[in-house]
Amino acid sequence: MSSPPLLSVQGLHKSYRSPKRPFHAPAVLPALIDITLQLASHSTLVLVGRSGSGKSTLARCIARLEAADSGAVFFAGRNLMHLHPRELKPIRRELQIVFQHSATAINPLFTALEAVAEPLDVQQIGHRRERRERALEAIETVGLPRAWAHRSSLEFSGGERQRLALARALILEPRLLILDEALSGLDRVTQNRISDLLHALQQQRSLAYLFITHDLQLASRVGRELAVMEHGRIVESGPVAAILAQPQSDAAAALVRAIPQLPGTSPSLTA
Amino acid sequence: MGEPLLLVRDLCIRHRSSGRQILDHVSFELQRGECLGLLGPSGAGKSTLARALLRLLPPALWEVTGSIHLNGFNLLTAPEGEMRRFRGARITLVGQEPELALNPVLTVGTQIEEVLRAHFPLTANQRRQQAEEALAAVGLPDPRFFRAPIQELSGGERQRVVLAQALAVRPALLILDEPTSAVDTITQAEVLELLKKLRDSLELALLFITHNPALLSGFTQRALLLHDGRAQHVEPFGAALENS
Amino acid sequence: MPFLLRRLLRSLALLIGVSFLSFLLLDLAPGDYFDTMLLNPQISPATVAAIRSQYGLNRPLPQEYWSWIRSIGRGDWGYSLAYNLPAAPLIWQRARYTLLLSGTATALAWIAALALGIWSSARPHSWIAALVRTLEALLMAIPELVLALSLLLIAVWSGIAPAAGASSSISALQPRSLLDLARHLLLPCLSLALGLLPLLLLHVRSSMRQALDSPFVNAARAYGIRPARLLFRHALPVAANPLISLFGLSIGLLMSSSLVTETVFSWPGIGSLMVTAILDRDFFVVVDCTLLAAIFLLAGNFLADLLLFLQDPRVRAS
Repeated sequence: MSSPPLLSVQGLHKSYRSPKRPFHAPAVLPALIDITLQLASHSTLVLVGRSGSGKSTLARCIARLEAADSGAVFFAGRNLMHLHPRELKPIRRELQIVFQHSATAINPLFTALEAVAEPLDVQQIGHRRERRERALEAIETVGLPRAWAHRSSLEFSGGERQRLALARALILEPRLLILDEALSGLDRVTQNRISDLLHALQQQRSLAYLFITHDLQLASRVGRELAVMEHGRIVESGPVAAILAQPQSDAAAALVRAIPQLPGTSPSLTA
Repeated sequence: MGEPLLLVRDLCIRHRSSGRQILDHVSFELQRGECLGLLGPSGAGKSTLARALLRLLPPALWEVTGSIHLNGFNLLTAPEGEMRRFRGARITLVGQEPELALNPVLTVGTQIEEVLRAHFPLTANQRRQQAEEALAAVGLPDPRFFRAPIQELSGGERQRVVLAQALAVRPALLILDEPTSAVDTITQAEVLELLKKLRDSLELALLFITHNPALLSGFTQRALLLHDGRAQHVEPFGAALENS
Repeated sequence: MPFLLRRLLRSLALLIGVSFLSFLLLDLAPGDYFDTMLLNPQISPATVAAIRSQYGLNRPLPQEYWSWIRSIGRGDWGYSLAYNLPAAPLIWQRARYTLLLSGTATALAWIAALALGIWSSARPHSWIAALVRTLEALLMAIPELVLALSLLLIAVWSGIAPAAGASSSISALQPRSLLDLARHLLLPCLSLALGLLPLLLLHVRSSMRQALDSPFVNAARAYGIRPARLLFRHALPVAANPLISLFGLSIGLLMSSSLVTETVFSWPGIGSLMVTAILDRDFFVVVDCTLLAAIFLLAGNFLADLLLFLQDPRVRAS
């Protein structure tokens, strides 16, 4: 890669003080240890690991929803680590994050249109008509009918709500979209449809994804580059196919083993 | 084969206010110790079927017709008091999100004891002992788990507690409704392993609801595919599902 | 234990703050009890100044505050200039009537709210539940004063219960006079309880509904647990948290919630004492009443914290 990466994380560290639990002595828990990764624009990096491995913490630290202890996060050439919140605001337009339960964060009193247009209101972009038009477009982009724009967000199914959450993130035309278990909990068919949509969007726009999941099968469908996390470290990274065929780390091997297999199929994962 | 454990004939479920027909003449049967998969996309009515089998759908909102026989006993016409004795004791349900299925203000042990108390006349000591045995059976033998509030458990541990709760009274039929949808894939593999072990040791019949046919491997060759309210008997690993 | 200790220390710090601030604000307010004497041409300003210094009113503020705190320690709670007595017995004599009234009313309102609220949430489609909801909405809409006055009117017309005061005579506590007290208590207590009821009922109903609709109660239902046990062992403890906070608040307001009712029914509580004390600028009585109300509020909150701590493992864990 000759062009400078869109996102470059260098030596990121973060630790928590553990809550008091009778089963464990209170301690300082390292959540992220020396995380270094790069992501070029228009590409996808899939981050896998089991729950508690630090994937979500990393996502939150990159998006500055949490402060890391040390290290650097360069996004489009700027180090986000010590930016003032005021300087962060324009950057948030370019770096959006979608969570597993993003959809539950939508105010149930809002219609789909209002929910999707809200980020434009917050960032004070365009005037009313323009915002409305852009929200309708975004709803269409994620594969929902325009006619549904005036329904309450409560009337949408789980998969449809996740599409709404996606529309909300896309409406600001970000350059990087972090999807933190954004498709977990949806059924396979819905997962496949939305991941196809993500591919199509990447073709249309110059969009980079940091896709976080615990599901290797889904990971292999979404991207080609993989990083495996365990206990706050990136223990293995490389092309998905190579890791699936020959996992080097225990963590990767456990994830490969945990893939539910249809009898008589090899772990080639052409889902 | 003899009389099946569960015999469902022409089950129809209609949502009264919207008039939507969720299930349309669904029939199937399940032998003692056998496992049946229940497949279908989300919204196909899988969870509604599960709740109907325990007669948990409020009759004011749902119209349920047909027949459901468990051990030759008609669950749809039984008086509520009889039904309550069956519910949990003979036929039990483990739902999707273990985080939400456990009471946040009761300890792990109390929640299991509550189920035992509902069905058996036991002394406090017996109850405690049986609850501890149930926890040990799901791989949580440490007595500290017994007193722990559920907030201190991981997702996988909660999933196990829910299983201990469901199986403490030794039901004949366990309905699993997407039992691993909320845990990561490694925990999922562990829970599935545990379920296989429990099925063998307790001679459990399983109705395994999932959208992912691969989860059924090692459990069953027989599945019911729900689609548009109709049920179709399928081999879970056959061609019918390759496209989903 | 640090949770409770932290809360206790915070309450104490707040109490010291409140006592000092109310002392300071009242001290800054213009005039004092002896100002009216200056209007009398027969009394020379020098005499008034002499009286002031006799009562220690011309000392610097910190000194005055400190001597008040010391007198609280002695059990005097300062000095009532109007009654020429230590303030504490004076206030206690009135406060116990207020406590009797608001305590009985609060207890009644809670008992009714819990019984009706739990019943109607267990059977949301029954006619009783509909009746409870109607009652709640109706009571919610009636202002406290209107409620008290209508009860007063009913009492005057029907003569069921005395309309004013706390007793027919000033006699010692005998069975007869206890009955007499109860008869006098009836109307103000009913008025206060009915005013409090809809708010409590609303909270009991909504938190019970929420608990009964929760996934874990549904799961417990699927395990065949009896409806009554579901209600009291599974749903109620979960619904209890917001109710416990509300309970703490209602204990905290015991000293101050009954002022309007006391006025309407001429109940000899702390309300009327405080009003006259303010008008007379009877400094210590006013500061004491403020402090007493603050003590109740903080104690009520602390009680709620304590109950939450005992009740909810989540609070204990955090």
